[in-house]
Amino acid sequence: MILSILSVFILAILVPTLHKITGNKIAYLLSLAPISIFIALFYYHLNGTTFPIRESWEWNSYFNLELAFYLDGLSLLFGLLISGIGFLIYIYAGFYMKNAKYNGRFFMILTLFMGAMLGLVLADNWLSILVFWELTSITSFLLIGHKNEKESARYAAWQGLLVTALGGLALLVGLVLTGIVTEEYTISNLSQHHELLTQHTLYIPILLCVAVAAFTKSAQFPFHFWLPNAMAAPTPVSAYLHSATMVKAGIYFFARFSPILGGTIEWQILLSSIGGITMIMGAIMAFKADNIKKLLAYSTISALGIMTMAFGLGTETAIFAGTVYIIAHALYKSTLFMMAGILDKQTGTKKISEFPVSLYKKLPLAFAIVCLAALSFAGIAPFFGFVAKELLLEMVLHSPMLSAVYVAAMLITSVFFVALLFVLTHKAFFKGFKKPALKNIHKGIYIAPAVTALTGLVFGLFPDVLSNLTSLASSNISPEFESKHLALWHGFNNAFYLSLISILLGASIYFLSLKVNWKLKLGFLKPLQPSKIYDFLFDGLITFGQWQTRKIQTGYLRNYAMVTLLVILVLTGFTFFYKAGIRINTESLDIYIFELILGLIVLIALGFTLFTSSNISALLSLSVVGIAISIIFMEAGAPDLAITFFLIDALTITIFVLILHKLPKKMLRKKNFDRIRDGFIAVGTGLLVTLILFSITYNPLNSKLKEFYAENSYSAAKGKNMVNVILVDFRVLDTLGEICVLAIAALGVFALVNYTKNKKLD
Amino acid sequence: MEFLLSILVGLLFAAGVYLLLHRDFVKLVIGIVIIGNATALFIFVAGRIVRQNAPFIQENGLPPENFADPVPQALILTALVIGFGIQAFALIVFKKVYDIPKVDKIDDLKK
Amino acid sequence: MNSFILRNSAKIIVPFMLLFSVFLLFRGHNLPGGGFIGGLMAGAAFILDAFANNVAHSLKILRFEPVKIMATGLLLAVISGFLGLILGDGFFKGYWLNIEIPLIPKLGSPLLFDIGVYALVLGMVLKMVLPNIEND
Repeated sequence: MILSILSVFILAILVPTLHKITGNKIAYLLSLAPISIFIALFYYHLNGTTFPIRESWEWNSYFNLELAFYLDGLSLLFGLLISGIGFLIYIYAGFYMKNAKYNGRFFMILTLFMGAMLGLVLADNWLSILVFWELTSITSFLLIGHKNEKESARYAAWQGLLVTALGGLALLVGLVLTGIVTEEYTISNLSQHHELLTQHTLYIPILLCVAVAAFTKSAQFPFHFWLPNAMAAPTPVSAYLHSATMVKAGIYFFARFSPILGGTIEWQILLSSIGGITMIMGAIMAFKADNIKKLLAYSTISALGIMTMAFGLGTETAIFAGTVYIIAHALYKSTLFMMAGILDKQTGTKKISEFPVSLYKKLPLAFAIVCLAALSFAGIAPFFGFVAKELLLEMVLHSPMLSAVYVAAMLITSVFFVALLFVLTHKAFFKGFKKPALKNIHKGIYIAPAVTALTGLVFGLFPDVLSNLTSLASSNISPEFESKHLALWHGFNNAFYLSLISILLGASIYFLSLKVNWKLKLGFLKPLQPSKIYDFLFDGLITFGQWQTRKIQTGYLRNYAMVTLLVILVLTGFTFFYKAGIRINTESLDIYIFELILGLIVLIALGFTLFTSSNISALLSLSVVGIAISIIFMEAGAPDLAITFFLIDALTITIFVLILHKLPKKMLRKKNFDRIRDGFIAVGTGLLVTLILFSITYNPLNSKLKEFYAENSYSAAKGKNMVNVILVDFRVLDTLGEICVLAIAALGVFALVNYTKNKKLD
Repeated sequence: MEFLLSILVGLLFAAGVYLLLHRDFVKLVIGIVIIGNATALFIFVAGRIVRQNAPFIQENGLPPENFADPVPQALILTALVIGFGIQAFALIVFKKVYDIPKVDKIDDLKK
Repeated sequence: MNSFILRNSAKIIVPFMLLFSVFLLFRGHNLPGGGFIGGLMAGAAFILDAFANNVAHSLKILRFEPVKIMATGLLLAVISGFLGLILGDGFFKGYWLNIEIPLIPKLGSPLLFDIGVYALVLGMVLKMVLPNIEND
């Protein structure tokens, strides 16, 4: 498993090169990858291999990091869907994207996406799950934004990325919290901790995090808005994203986490209510949509809502129904999307209201395929959709609580699905609004949708072939699950009657809507739409960022200095008073008169420097301070320092005086408020420094370095001046670094001086 | 003597900080210079003060009794020279700033 | 600045300062002094000359451009370090010659390094101060 997924990624990297060699044939070549994975998985399935199979490659056991893959019924089901539909998508894309620009890039990302998706459903370690999760987000970002010259595509790509990345963050938090609670980082072992998790105080946060992650990926309310915009992607991508991959990742998560987090009242309420809202909303919005891709996108949202609700309810029937519906949905939705792409290519429009007159005559094959898929979509016998729908209705009829509400919700959704059947067949192919002007395309493009549509029919007629697979998958979702058999005909039961009602109601709604042009007046809700809130937040974030930058990056040096100083002052001051406190060494109080006088001179000179309004006198008093300090150095046994300090003081003042006449004569004064504020900061800093020094000198210093240098400076380094010996021998590397700094500073000055000179020449 | 010097270092820091927050170029640079001096003295005091006896080996090959610590001195010596480099660099940058037309306060640079 | 007194006293003081700076450099290993101090002192001498006469004059008596002096200083310092590396000991291993010459300090790689520091500091000081002196 590790090798096969790795090989998909390696293949993806090679795609651009292969594309140069093979040109348009690249798609068929690449389709070999998913089909071989499909066959391999299928072989596992048929051969009666005992599941689960686990492969792992440990990386760092201390951090519980390993690359582990885990194949059980659930991942097998998803793996088969991803690779099977993926194969057909490649075939379809080969025709659809023929001679399109940037095909190398497109197929590379598509392959990467497929690899990430396979990795996601097979991964067993929390970190690999997260990595694959984010990989699908990023690759789908690139796929949605493939037509990057269009602004709408870029916007949609951003939106998709931000929403799903938000989910990714939630997932990270959720997985880390789970890890903290259970100390288990292997997903397949987590279900052993079901009781611990569901009774833990962190259960609600974990549940919310995992649910938000899955909601964003599976476009559940209120995160649904990115999916319709994701239509900006090329149609093969939409077909793949919507039917078997991206959006199913969230559903996969609900399924995977059902035995870990499920079975509680919170899980049921959260998932089934959000799923219920999403499915009704999606169905209604789909009915209102005119753009065929948008219509399908909203219907996808609705279908995902159904699945979320099924896994939320969590009864045996519900889980079985959800699993079956995943397959049914993947088949009909990929067909419909591929057909939407074909119709778009041939008629030049995506809007149903602009389709040519009596299209069914012109494109009989397209009409037939759409019919096959749409009938399955609406849940009409003998298609596979019917089998799924019967199960779903049975699920709501036997739901553990509030049965009536679920039945009503499910009924409304099915009614609109039936109405959509008529939109997709009757309105699109019979009504017609324009003169036909059809482009010819290669008939091979029909292969892929025909295969998926016919598969739907075959599975509908012989549903029992899927019994094993779906039962196996369901048993991984709910441990108590006993295998069931799928059948087309369940007899005249309540579910069947409900199904009939929905067909009748759906047909009447559709034909009513053709006569009556009713519009829902929901304009007042517009500002509350999640997409509007997203826009508001997005713009708000940018505005906030600009405001914050303006506030923090004021451009005034003194503000930066002040903030830095205040932070140092507060942190150091707090630590100092908290840890050390005020201590004064009384032995250090012996002061000679002459030192006192030096101190007074410094004090007076400093005061003069501070408050004089003349630059020259400020400088002169500064030099007095410098001389006084060098005398202190001399006094305290540091003649080297004294000389250096004296020279440097002189040189600094020299430069200062030299450039002084270039500077403005007028000295700027502080404002009164600033004066008080700065005074406080200054006095605080000074006081703190003094107290710290008192505290430092409270105890005598026990320096071994001092003795070391006293012993070695003459015997080892042949020098009597210990300071100089340290500088040029013991710590010579430091000195080298320091003179390099000096050289750089001088070169900086050199560059500055020459800069103006050149300018003058110009 | 540490007592007196500690107060002195505090005063120097206070004055330096006050000037560092100034709107005027010259005062600002003076502030930088004073803070540099104060830091040198800070390290020096933290290394303890020993009056008179400098860290030199005597003729007999032994260090004098109770001599000053050479380590902070070595630190300060290079710090002072580097400080000079920085101060000179700052001054020349400021001088260049005034060569820009229409700039006569630090605040004008913001525009 | 065009002052007769300054010009003439500089004639005497500058050579003495330069001599003194070399003296400080050489005695630095045993007594107060060393490359930093010597370099600063030498820089001060040339600056005094630039005040007394003009920048062009002091650059003339300097003979080399300050940048080149700096580069040479850095080179000497690095060479004194690589000596140890080439001879198979560590980087910056100190070597001393066992000969005593009067008036000249004990020769060795640390002294070479100190001379490098001297040259670099001298070059830096001149580079930073001289461009600001404008002789009218």
